[in-house]
Amino acid sequence: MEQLERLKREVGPLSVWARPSLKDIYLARGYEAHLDDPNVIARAWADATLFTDSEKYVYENDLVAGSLTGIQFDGPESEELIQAHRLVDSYGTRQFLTNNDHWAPDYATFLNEGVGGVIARIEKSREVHAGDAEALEFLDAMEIVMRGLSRFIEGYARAAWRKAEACPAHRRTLSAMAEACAHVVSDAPRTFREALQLMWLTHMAFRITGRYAMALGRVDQFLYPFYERDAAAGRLTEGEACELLACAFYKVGDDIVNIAVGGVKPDGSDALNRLSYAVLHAVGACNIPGPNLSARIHAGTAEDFLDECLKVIGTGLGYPALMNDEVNVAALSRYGYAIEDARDYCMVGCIENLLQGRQPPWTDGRFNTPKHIELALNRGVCMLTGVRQGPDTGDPTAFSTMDDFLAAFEAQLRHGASKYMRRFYNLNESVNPKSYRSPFMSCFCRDCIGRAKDINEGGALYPSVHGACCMGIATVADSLAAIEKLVYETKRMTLSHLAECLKADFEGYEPERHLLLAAPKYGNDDEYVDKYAVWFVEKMHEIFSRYRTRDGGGVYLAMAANTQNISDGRMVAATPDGRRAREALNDAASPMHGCDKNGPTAVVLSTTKPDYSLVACGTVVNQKYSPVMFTDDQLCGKLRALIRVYFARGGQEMQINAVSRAVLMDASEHPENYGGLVVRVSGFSAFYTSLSKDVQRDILQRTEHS
Amino acid sequence: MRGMIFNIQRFCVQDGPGIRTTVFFKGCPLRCAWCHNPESHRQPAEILFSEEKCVLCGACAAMCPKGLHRMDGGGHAFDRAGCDGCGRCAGACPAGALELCGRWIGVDEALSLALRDADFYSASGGGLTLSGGEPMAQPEFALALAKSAHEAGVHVCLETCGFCAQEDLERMLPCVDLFLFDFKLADAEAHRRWTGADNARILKNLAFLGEQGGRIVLRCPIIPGVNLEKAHFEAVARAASSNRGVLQIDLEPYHPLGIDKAQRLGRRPGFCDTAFLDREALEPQAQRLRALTGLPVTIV
Repeated sequence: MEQLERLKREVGPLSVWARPSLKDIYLARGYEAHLDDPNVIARAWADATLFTDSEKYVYENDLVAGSLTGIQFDGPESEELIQAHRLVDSYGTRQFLTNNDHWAPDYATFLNEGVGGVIARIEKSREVHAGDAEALEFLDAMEIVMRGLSRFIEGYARAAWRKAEACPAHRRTLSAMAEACAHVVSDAPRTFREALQLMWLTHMAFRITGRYAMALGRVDQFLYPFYERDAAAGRLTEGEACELLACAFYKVGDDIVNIAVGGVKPDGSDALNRLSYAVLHAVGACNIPGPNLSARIHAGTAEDFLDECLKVIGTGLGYPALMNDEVNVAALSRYGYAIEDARDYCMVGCIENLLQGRQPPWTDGRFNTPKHIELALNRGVCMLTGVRQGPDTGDPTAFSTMDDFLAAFEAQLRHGASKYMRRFYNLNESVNPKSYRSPFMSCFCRDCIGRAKDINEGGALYPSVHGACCMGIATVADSLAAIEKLVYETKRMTLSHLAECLKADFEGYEPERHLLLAAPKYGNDDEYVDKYAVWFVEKMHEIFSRYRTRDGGGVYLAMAANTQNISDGRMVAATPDGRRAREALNDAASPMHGCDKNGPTAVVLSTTKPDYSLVACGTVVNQKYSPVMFTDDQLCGKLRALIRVYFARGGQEMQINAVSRAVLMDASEHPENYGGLVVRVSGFSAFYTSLSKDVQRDILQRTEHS
Repeated sequence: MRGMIFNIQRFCVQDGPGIRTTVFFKGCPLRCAWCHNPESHRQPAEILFSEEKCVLCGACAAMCPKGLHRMDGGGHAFDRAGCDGCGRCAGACPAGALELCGRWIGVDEALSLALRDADFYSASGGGLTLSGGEPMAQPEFALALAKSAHEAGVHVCLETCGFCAQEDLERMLPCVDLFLFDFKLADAEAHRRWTGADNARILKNLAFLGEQGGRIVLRCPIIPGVNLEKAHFEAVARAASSNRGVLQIDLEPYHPLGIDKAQRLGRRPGFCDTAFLDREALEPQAQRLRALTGLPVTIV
């Protein structure tokens, strides 16, 4: 990977968030020239102008053209840019909660036909929709923006030629880059290099429009036919493919770009191929937080692939995240997708399951489940602020059985879910779809061209979906178990006395807290508490699956939190599990940190009890092991066996950090020595030293096994 | 049938093949100076006390039926001499400063706990390990547990110092799949000095197991200043080569984690060297042992 190493030195550490963008200058130029045109045409010209006019920067050590470098700048904003913002902002743009990013384009179709093929399909669709002015206008917009993409690629071809002339030492590689770009300006790619180049420039085009967390999806599947042809013809080795991939991926920087490898094909057969390994190794070699690799593992996935995954994890990167293909396909199948489409899912953002190029961009939000225990214990009133947040579900003294308490909790949850969904609907429907069309994105989604409709207006094969991330499974399960144990079973305290302890944040009630902490905890293979985790998933699924998105799509359950378990924890009073007020909730779907005292097998047995086929968005279970577990072949084999059992028993996702506590503690104290230390946080990886002290502490507290 | 244990640990990855559950028996006939489990020496239950965790709340003093805990002079005094390990103080301690070490467990309870991880054993080739302390110091319980596990289809390892009656070991043979047999010092005098016991019986038992068809991994703690020397590795090689039951040699580099535990037991550690012996440092010896014996040699 010499080329990659040279590229790394040339580029340096790449943070895509650190520098502001010039994009509005180009967008404004497009709008300015089309002020009297219909909104969608103006939008198309804005994007097309951005693609055409923006600076194309090529690194001399690169193999795959396309980076954000040319569009970013340092220093204060120019007057031109400030003026540009005013016009661009007046047009407005969709945001994350209005289906704008966190999406995976249909690269499989696109790479087969190229830009020219897309334009030909648009032309054909015009015949079908002849006489439908609105449809024709949208098709015009799509063509405008695809021609813009064509000029974007052409611009990179020219930039690569210029660089080749300026750098004789790199003439050979840069000429090859320029030729690859030049070929895909309009034609479909013929080789792996051309296909990768076209995919990457399209990804960059999405990126410079301001979208982030744009997934690449199943790279090892849609690039494989090109790889296979080149390999068979002796034009390309696996190592060369790996290096090409790495040069593209390295420029992801710290954006969250999900890549899925492995899994099954649409027909259900094993999808693993040599390119899956090459992608894995390319991501490993980049050794940066951004390419968020997801390995789809099913029962038939080769053992050596799982081993290779563990080796990459063991470098300290924290990915690939390991996904259970059987569970994910079963979960998606509940929503009426064709089985072939469900099997072709990928992930966007952190772990969110999405059908690549077949449905609108992802949206999700976090639901603070443990807060509703507090409300059920206090007649709907927040214990921290005294403000009413839920319905009055009655005085706890009247709850004479566990079921009485659960009924009050459930009533609070239903009210909370209604409020959550209403806030989402209000936001999600706040844009007028006609004025917020995305002709560019629609070109990469089945079947927007055929239907001549925007991706968010019925053009997509399937409707939009939303993920309700229900946080705090362990905080809730532990709290319910503590209530059952101490209030209803041993009767060591009454429910109202418990409420008093919580309101006082255990001030003056340390013996009570001691009892609560000693109650059974999730993650120890203890049915007494695990049954409440099962209840949690079933109940939250029942509550949220009654809702639909604006266009009739599913509201998926998610068991993830990112780091919001920390910020949302600050809004929750002390809980019956013994957690103090404002402390973090448990991380994602993992046991409460420090509470899993029986080791990893017990964690696996506990965390596989809930039915994750009810969790269509995805789950995050974090585990941390000493680096030696990955480097020693025998120990690594034992870890692999643990994961196999976890998946065979129905676990959905596991992500593993390979860092020792000692290293992390030292990194907290001496951040200057650990600039490059990458840890997996929840659904993503990040530079450890860039995390807040709270998050650092949270990662530390998650038990280190073995 | 009950036995006195001080821990059952799941997901053990260093005590035999695969993922294992290890039952740690309490009580040991040896007193190896470097022992990292000093809480395993005596069989009766006892209390571990971490002074730095104590919050001086006095909850233990209130609970102790014998008045052995006293809060005076701003400190916490604990008179171990009269303690019978009832554990009430540990149950009351809110700070985790007092910990009860040792409990009776029945064969059925130990087995059902071990069987919870049966899926992991089949996926990894693991099973149950009897360790300690010294399992053979409670021969009836060791036999009953090994037998019932074996009958349940669980792979059984017995980790032993070998200081036990030959008849007891013989009875274990049909239900132990692999013996993890300690080999500490070949020289009788040095063995007596560092472990407090004679090694003649141990070496006899080792030979006996090999003759009887027992499958053996030789487990060799390597302690700087005690046996980290050429002559010892040659002795290990001889012991392994002359015994047809030995399939593998494990080298266990010294680590000082027993020191803190000894202090929490109110004892003086037998060995005060606080430096870890580096795994990598043993690689040349491992290489040499491989060459001398032709056996796989791992550094645990």
